[in-house]
Amino acid sequence: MFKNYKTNSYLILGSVLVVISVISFLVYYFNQLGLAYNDARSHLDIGRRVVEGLKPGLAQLGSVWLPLTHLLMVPTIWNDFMWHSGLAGALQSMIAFVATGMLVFRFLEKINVGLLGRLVGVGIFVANINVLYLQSTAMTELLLLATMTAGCYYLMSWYRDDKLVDLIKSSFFIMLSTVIRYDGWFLLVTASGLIALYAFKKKGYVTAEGTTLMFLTLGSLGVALWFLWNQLIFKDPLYFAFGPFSAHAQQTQLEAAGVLATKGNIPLSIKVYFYALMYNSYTIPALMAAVGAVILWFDKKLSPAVRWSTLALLAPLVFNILALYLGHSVLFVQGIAGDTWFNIRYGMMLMPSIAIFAGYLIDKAKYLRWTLIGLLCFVLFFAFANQDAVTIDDARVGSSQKNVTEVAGWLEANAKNKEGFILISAASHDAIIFSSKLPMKRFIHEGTGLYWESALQIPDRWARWIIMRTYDDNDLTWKFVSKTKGFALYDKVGSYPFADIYQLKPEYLPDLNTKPVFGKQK
Amino acid sequence: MNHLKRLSLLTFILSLILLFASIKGDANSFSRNSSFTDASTGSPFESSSSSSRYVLTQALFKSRSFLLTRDQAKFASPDVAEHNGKYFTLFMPGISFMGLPFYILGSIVGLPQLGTFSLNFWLAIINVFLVAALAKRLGASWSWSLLGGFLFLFGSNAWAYALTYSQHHLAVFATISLLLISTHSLTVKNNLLFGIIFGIALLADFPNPIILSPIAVYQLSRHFHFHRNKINWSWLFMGAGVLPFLVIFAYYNLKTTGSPLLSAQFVGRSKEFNVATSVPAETKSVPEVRSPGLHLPLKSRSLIRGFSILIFSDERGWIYYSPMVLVGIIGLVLTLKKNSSNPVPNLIFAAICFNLLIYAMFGDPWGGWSFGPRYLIPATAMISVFIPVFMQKYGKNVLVMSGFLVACVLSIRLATLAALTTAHVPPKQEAEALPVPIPHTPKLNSNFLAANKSSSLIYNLSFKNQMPANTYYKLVFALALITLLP
Repeated sequence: MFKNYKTNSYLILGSVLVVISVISFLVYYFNQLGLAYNDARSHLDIGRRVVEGLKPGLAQLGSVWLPLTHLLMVPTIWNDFMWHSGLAGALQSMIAFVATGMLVFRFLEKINVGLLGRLVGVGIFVANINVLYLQSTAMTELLLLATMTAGCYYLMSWYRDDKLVDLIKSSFFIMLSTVIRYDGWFLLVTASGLIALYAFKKKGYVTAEGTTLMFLTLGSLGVALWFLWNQLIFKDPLYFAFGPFSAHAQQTQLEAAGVLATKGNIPLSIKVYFYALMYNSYTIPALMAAVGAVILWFDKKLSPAVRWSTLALLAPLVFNILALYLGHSVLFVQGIAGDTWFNIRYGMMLMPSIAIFAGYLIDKAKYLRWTLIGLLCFVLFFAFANQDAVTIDDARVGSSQKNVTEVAGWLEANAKNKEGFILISAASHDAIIFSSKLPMKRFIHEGTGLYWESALQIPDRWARWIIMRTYDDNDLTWKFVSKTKGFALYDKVGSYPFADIYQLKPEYLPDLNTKPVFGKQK
Repeated sequence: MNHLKRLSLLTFILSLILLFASIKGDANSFSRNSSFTDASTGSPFESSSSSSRYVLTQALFKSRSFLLTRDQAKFASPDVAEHNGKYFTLFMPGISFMGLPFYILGSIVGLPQLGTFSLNFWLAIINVFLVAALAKRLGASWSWSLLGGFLFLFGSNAWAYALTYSQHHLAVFATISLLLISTHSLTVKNNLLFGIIFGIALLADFPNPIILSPIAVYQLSRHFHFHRNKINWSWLFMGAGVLPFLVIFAYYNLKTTGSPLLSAQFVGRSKEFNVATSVPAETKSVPEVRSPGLHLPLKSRSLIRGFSILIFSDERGWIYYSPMVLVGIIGLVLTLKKNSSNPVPNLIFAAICFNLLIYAMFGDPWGGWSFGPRYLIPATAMISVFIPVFMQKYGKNVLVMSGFLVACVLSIRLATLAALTTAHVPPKQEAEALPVPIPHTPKLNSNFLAANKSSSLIYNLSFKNQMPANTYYKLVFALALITLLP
C-alpha cells in the first residue's frame, strides 16, 4: 500500500514534469528562441557531423567540448527535423529536466523532508524560466545538472545507508558528468575528497584507500578516456586544454582584449558569480537556500554523515568562482562586469542545490512555512509575469547570441540549388552552417581532412563559395586562403556582420570539383 | 497618578516638544501664499510627495474637485499625471482626503500648510503609543514598550517624515492597528474596524494592501474552522469595512482618469513640466533588454540591488540610518526561534518581508530624493516592537546594554539631523551627476547645518538670532536622548 503510494507519487510528479517540459519546448520552438544560443547550434552541428558530411565519423566529436551530449544526439540527429528543430539536442535536456526534478524530490525525501517541503523544492527548480528555457535547447546544462544531482544523491545515500551499491551509482553518474562539462571534474575531486575523509575518520586508512580507489576507478573513467581520445585523435592528451580551439585559447584572446577582469581577482570573481546566481535563481530562493543549508548542517536530527555529504552540493559554487579567478572561465554580468551578458547561465548550476536546501528550510520553518511560500510565490509571480530570464537575454542580445540570419539566408537562397562546396571554418562559423539549412556535406571545414587541406591551398578547385571574416587571421579560412593565388579568382558578393561571402567567378567553374572524390578517409 | 501613567505622559509631552521643535517652516509660513511657491531644500514643500498631495487637498477645498489647476499641477510636478487634458496627483488620494479637515482648521487661522501637515504630526504621536501597545502585547513592560515606540519615531527617519505630508505614518498607523486588532477577539466591531483601517491604508498607498496581506489573510483565516465544520460569518464585516473605500477609490478614478478601474499610477507621469526627475541614474546607464513579458513595475531582477540599497548602503540602508533596528532584528529572530503559537511575531516577520520585497523589486528603491529608507518606515515600526521585547530579557547584560545605547545614540543623531534640516537627499548616482555634485549621505544634512541653516520653524522664528543652527541641533538632540536615561 505504502509502496504504491510512493510509486504513484513519483508517477504523478514525473508526468507533471514531462508535461511542463514538453510545453516549454513547444513555447521556445514556436517563438524561435530555442536555438538563440550560438553554442546550441554548434552542439547540434557537432552531432550532425558524426553521421553526415564529407568525412563523417566519431572523430568529428572533436575536442572543443566534452563528448557525451553529442554522442547522445547521434541516434536522432540524422533526421533533418530533429537537427534543425534542435530537438535532437533538447530531448536529452528535457529528460534531464524531468530526472533532476525527481531527484530533488527524492533527495529531500531521503533527508526526511515532508511532502510540502519536497514539493516546494521541486517547485523552486521547475518554476524558473532560466531552467525551463535551457531544458528546451540543445545546451549541456540540464544534462550536467541531472548527472551531478544524481551523483550527489547516491553519495548522500551511501553516507546514510553505507551501501556500496550507492557509491558505485554515485561514481557512475559523476563519471557521466565528467564527460559533459568540466564542472563534473571538480565534483569528482570534491566527492573523492569527501569520501576519503569520511572513510578515513570512520574506518581507518586502509578502508579509506580502498573505498576512494573504488570510487575513482569508475568515476575517473570518463576523464581517462578523454585524455586517451585527445592523444589518439590529436596526438596530444592535453589538446582539449591548450589546443587552438580550447577555452584556454579563447580566454587568452579575451585577456589580451582586457575583458577577463575576474582573473586573479577573487572578490570580483565572487561578486560576478554571486550576481549570476541571484539573477538565475530570482534571489529569494537562493537566500532561503542559504538559510536552509545552515539549518541543515546544524540539524542534529540528521546524522553527521548525511550533513557532511551535502557539501558536495556546493561543488558548482566553488568550481565557478575558482574558474573565474584562475581565468579558465568568462562570465559577463551586465552592469557588474562587462557591458553585456555572457555565459550568465553558469549561475544556474546551483539550482538543484538551491531547491534542496530551500525545500529543507520550508520543512523546518514550521510556523513560518506559509510566509516563506508566500514570499516565494510573490517573487515567482513577478518573475513569470515579466518573463525574467537572464539566460534568454544572453541568448538574444548578449555575447552568447550570434544573429547570422543574413549570411545564412544568402547561402540558402543562392547555394541551395547549385552545385559546389562551401569553404568555411566551423570553429568560427558553425552557426552559419546550421542556419543555412544546407546539408553538412556541402561544407568543407576543419573536420573534412583532405578536402580542407586541399581547399586551403587551391580554393578555386574546391570551393565555389568561401565564407570568412576578411582581414581576420583568427578565422582559419582567411588566414590561409587569403595567401593563395586562387583567392584572386573570387568576387566578394556579400558583406555581413559576422562574415563575408566570396563566390568563384563563373569562368573558373568548369575546373571546379563539385562532387566528393576522396572516398572514405581515415 | 501612578508611575506608568506619568511615564506615558512624559513620553507624550517629550514627543510633542520634539516634533514641535522640528516643524518645518520659516517666517514666510505665516503669509498665506508664499509657501505655495517655495519648494527649496528644507522647506515644507521640498519634496513633490508632499506638494502633490497638498495641492489635491487644496483643490478639494477650493474647487471641490479632484482635478488640479495648471498652476497646482506645475507645483506638484513631477508627481502629477495628465489624462485628456486633466491634471491630477500621481499618488493615491487617501492622505489628501484625510488632510482636508486639518487644511480647513489651518485655513481658519491663516495657516493652511501648517494645519494640513499636522495630520502626520498627530499620526506620528499616535504611532508611538501603538508601537508601545503592541510591544506590551508581546510581553514587554510598559516602560520598555514606551521606549520602543519613542525610538521608532525619534531613532529613525520616521521623525523627518512626520514633518511632511506623505503616506508613511498612515501606513504605520494601519499596520500596527491591524496587528493589534488581530490579537483581539473576532467581534463584528473589530472586523468592521479592521476593514475600515485596511480600506484607509489602501487609499493611502498602493503597496499597503500587499504589506498588510499577511495580517488580512490571518485575520480572515481565524473565521474558518474547517476541522470543526464551523464558520464565523462576522468576517463579512471586514469586507463591509473595506467596501466604502473601494467605492471612493473607483469614484475618484472615474473623475480623474475617466475609468473606475484606471488609476493615476497607470497613467504615468506627465511630461509637460519636465524638470530634473528622480529617475535612478543606474537605469539610464544600463539599458534593459525588452523582454516579451508584461513589464510590471516590480521586477525580480531588481531584488539584489534593492536589498543592497535598502539594507546596507549609505544611500538608503536601513541599518546604516537606524542601527537600532539591529536590536529589533535580533529580538525578532529570537522570538521566532521559540516557535511559539503567538501569531504576531510571524505576522510581523511576513509584513516586514513583504515591505522589503516590494520596494527592493521596485525600480526606484531610493524613493527619489529622500532621507534614509522612507519606504521601510512601516518595517521600522514593526521591528521597533522587538526592541523592548529583547531589551527586557537581555538588558541587564552590560555588553548588550552598551551596544544598545550606542545604536540608539547613532540612530537618534541621524534622525535629529534629518528632522532639523532636510529629507531631500539624492541617490548616489544622481548626486554625482549634478552639475555641482552634492553628498548623497547625511553629510548633506551636516553641510546644511554647517551653513547655519535649519528647516525648523521654531528655530527660524525664535532662535535664529540667538544661536547657530548647530547649537539648536545639539539642544534638540540632547533632549531626544533624555529618554535613554534610566
